[in-house]
Amino acid sequence: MNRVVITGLGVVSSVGQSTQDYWDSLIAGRSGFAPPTLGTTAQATGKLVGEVKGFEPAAHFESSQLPLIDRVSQFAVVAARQAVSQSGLALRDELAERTAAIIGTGSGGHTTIDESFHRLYAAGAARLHPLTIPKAMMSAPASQVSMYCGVKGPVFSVSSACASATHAIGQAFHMVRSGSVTCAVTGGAEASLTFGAMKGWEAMRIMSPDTCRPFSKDRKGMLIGEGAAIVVLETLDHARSRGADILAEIAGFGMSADSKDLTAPDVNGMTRAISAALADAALPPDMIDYVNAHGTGTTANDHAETVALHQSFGVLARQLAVSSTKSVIGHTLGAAGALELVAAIMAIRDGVVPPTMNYLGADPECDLDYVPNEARHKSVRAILNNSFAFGGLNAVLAARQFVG
Amino acid sequence: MASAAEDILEMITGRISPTSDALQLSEPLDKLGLDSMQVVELIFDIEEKFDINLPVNANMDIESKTVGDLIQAVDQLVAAKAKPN
Repeated sequence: MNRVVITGLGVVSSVGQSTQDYWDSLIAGRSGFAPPTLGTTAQATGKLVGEVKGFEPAAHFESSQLPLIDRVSQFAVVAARQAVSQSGLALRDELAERTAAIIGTGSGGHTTIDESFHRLYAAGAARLHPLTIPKAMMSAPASQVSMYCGVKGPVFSVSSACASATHAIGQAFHMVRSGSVTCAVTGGAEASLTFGAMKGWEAMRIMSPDTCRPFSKDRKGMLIGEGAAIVVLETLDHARSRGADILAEIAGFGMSADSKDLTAPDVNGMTRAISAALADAALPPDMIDYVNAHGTGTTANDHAETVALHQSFGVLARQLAVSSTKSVIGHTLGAAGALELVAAIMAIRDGVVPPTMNYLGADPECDLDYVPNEARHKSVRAILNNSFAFGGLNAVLAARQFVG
Repeated sequence: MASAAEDILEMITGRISPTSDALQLSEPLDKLGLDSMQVVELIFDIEEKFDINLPVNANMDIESKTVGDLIQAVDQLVAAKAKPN
């Protein structure tokens, strides 16, 4: 079994279009929430969104390429290029064939679907663009990353709603650990701030009318965001052989399914995934200094996640620093696990825990240390990154400071 | 004006166990034996039937509202819709 290390990070987010800008915003608590401006979304429900503003496709792609690539794939490719560039990997020849690209997305090319079907049903269009299907397909972000980054090994997408990116990274981790590939470009992307999707979210009545305040008293629900994050994984031996800068080590991965309910969270399913990640990582629980929580800001998730952390960590739960990145960028759905893993890796790197913003005070049902409203200097030896999706699909990654 | 009560009570009893006791107007929505998404579906059906928008957030409103509150809110929205501008 190989040890698996991270050598590159890339981010496109509502609070920064590079890892450093994103991280600086998280630490400063600079919110990505604003009224929507994208296409038809602007007429939606009056809810704030975590939209990636100022993203200029023409700065990243040739004009001849743009008709072929949906916004979600653009995010994935831009983040992947950053991550590969930071890693210093030269993806060619045999190494390209020994590299995987596994990308999570909850909705794929949702913008293309929404705009195309609107043209057809509402505007009475007689025909659609010939690349509607390959732009919209769920695997398009993975295919585009493979083409733009020169990845020629196993390439596919993973879709498990709000856990998509975490499942994708976990799958890539398994493949690098087992030796079936040497490197992996992996993470998640989402760009589904369409009118249709926003009306769907509104219909669930779990959207906050003001802001997202995970684990706080008087929390009123979630807000939706978009973006992408990609990480480069490789075997420790390979990273060492080329003198790469090792950012952190992926230590373990745990998965479970609630097998219970399409929307309601289940404490036992969450607990099993957390415990599986800890066991897989062979980390003593007292080494986990930070948990990047799923923390959606709904009454149900935040309470269930708190109980699951109590069940998994026992008396040690109260020593954990727990925070939710969704308080700054919203729920980025299929990208969330990757954006949140980047936050947790940066916490290890910098010894700073990002805060849970918009926190108004303690809810008796949520009684852990949520690092309210202000970043905290703290040595972070190891982290957990929780993702708990609709449909009861749970995925938890464990990562640790790299010690040679 | 007719109250929406009969329709709403029918929609609720159609969703809950037939063995449950007679429905009380004072019954909180979260004590009906429906999970929160079933309550959200109930609200959707009411909105569709009466062509109104009920401002209900599953995170805040369900546990503080009773069946009677819901009927009253629907009656008021239906009345407001019928009133000429």
